Amino acid sequence: MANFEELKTAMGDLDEVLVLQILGEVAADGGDSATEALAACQAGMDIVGEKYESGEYFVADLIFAGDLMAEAAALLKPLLADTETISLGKLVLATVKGDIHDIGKNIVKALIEAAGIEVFDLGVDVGAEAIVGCLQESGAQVLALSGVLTFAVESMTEIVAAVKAAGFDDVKVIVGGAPVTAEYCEIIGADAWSINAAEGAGICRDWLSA
Amino acid sequence: MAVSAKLEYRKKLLDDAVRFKKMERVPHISNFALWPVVAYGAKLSEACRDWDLMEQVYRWFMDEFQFDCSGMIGGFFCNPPKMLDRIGEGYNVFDDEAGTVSLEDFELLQPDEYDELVNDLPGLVWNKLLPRKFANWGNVTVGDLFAAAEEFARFGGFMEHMAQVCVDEYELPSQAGHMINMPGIEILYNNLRGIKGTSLDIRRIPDKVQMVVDHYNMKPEAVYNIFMDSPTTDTYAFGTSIGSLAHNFLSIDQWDRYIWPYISGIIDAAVKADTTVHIFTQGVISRFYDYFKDIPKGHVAIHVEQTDVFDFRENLPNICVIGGMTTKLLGSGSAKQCVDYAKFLCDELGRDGGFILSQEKMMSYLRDAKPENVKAVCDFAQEYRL
Repeated sequence: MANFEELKTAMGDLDEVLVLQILGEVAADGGDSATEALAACQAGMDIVGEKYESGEYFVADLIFAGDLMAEAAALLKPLLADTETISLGKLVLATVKGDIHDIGKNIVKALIEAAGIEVFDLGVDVGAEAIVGCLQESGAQVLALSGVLTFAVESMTEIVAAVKAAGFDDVKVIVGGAPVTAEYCEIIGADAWSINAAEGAGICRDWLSA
Repeated sequence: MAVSAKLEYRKKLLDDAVRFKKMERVPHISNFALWPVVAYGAKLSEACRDWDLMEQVYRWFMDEFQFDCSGMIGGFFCNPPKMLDRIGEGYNVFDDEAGTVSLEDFELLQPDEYDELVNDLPGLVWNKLLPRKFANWGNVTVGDLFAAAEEFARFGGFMEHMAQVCVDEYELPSQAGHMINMPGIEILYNNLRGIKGTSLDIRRIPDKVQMVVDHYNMKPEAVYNIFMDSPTTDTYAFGTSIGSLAHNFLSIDQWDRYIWPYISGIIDAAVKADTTVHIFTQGVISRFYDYFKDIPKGHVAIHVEQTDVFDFRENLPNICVIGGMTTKLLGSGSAKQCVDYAKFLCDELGRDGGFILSQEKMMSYLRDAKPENVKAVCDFAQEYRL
C-alpha cells in the first residue's frame, strides 16, 4: 500500500523521483487507490502554493510543479473510474486576443487543475467569440483571462463585455498578467485580478467551493 | 578618438549620476524597443526587413525625441528576420495589425545535449541546432547560406553605421563600453532551452545547468582585465552593461547558485577597475535587494522596470536607479501630467546624483506612450536644472 502522506510531501518538495515511484506502486497494486493518490498529489500542490507564498519557491518551481502534476495526472487518469474524476467545477482559460504568452497561463492551469477544477484551455490569441462559445458548450462557472502585453487589457475588456452581452452574468471572471492592476480590473469589468498564479488559483477554488 | 563637447557633457552627466555626484540636470535614457517603428507609422514586418526604412525610423526617433544615451534604441534589431527568411526562421510572430512581434518560447537545445554544448559546440550547432531552428534547413542550398551570411553582414554594417550616426550626428553616447558575456543562465533561458525548458532542467539536471553556466560565465579576473585593457571608452556611457531576465523565474536559492556569483564578480571587477556597470533588469528585482546592499556607492546603476524606484532608493541608497516614468502616464496621461511626474522624480531622486530618468518598461507597443507625452518629457529633461 502506497504511503500517501509521503506522496503528498514528495509532491510538495517537488521530488519527482519519489512521486513517480509511489505512483508506480499505486499502478502496480491495480490502481484501486488512484483516487487517494490523486488527492495526495493535489494536497502536495497546496504545499507548493504555500512555499511559493512564503518565497521559498518561485516561478521556475511552479513551472516544474505544473509539469510534475501533469505527469502524475497522466499516470493516474487510466486508473480512475469516470465517477471518480468529478471536478470541483469548470473553468475556461485563455490568453487573450493579440497575445501569445502562455507561460503564466500554463502555470495557472496546472495549479487550478491540481485544485480539482476541470479546465478548458483555449490556448493563446483567443477572441471573444471562441470564449463565449466555450462557455456555452462547457457550462463553466469561471472564466480566467491571461495577458502580458499592455493592450491585453483592451482585449480583456472586449471579451468580458461580450461574455456579459451573451448573458453569462453568473460566470465569475478573473484576469491576470503583467499589465493587470486593481484599476484595470474595474475597467475590464472582471470580478477579481491577480498577478500571482497561486493566488489566482486560490481565488478560483474559493469561488467554486462556495 | 575626438568626440563632441555635447557627447562629453552627456557622458559626464551619466557618469556623475552613477557616482552620486551633484548633477546639473538628471540625464534621460531611452528604453524604447519597437515603439518607434509603429509610432513612425511603419509596419514591423517591413521595417525589420528594410534597413533603409529602419534608418528613417531611427533618425525620426532621434530627431523628435532627445535623450542622453542611445540606450535601448537598438532593441528592435535583435532579430534580423531578413537574414533568416531564406533559411526559414519561424520563432518571430509578426502582427502588423496589432503592431507587435513576439517570440515563441522554444527548446532549441534538448536536455541530453548539455555536454555537447560545452564540448562540441560547432558539431552541435551544425548537426542539431540549425536544423531545429530553421524550418527550411533540409532544403537550404549553399547559395541560401551565402545569401543569409551576406544579409547578416549587411545587418552588422547597418548596426555599425547607426552607432556611428548616433555618435557623430546626434552626439549620443552608447550604453555599454566593454563587452562582457551575458550570464550563462540567461543564455539557456533566452537562447537555448527557453523559459519552460530551463526551469525544468534546474530541477531535473541542476549539475548540467551549472556546468553550462560555468562554461559561459567569465571569471572575475578576465572581466577585470577587459576593463583594464582599454580603460578609456570615448563614446560610451557605462563601463559595461548586462541584462537580467532570469531572476523573474528563479527562487532565492536558484539566484544564489546560478546568477549572483557572476554578477557580483563583474561588480567586484568594476569596483577594482574604478569603472561602472549598468544592469538592465526586466520585471521586478526587489526580492534581491539584500545582495546589492554592500556594494560600494558609485559603481553600479540598475535599470528597473516594474520595481518601484522610491522603494529601490530607500533600500539601496548605494545604487544609481534608472527608470521611473510610468507607461500608465505616458500612454494615458496628459503631457502636463507626465512632465509634473518627471519633475517630481528628478526632485525627489536626483538632487544628489544616483538617478537617471527612463521609462519603467521597454516601450514596444503604440499604446505604451503618446508621442506628445514622450516629447514633453524629453524636452523637460533636457531643460530642467536641479
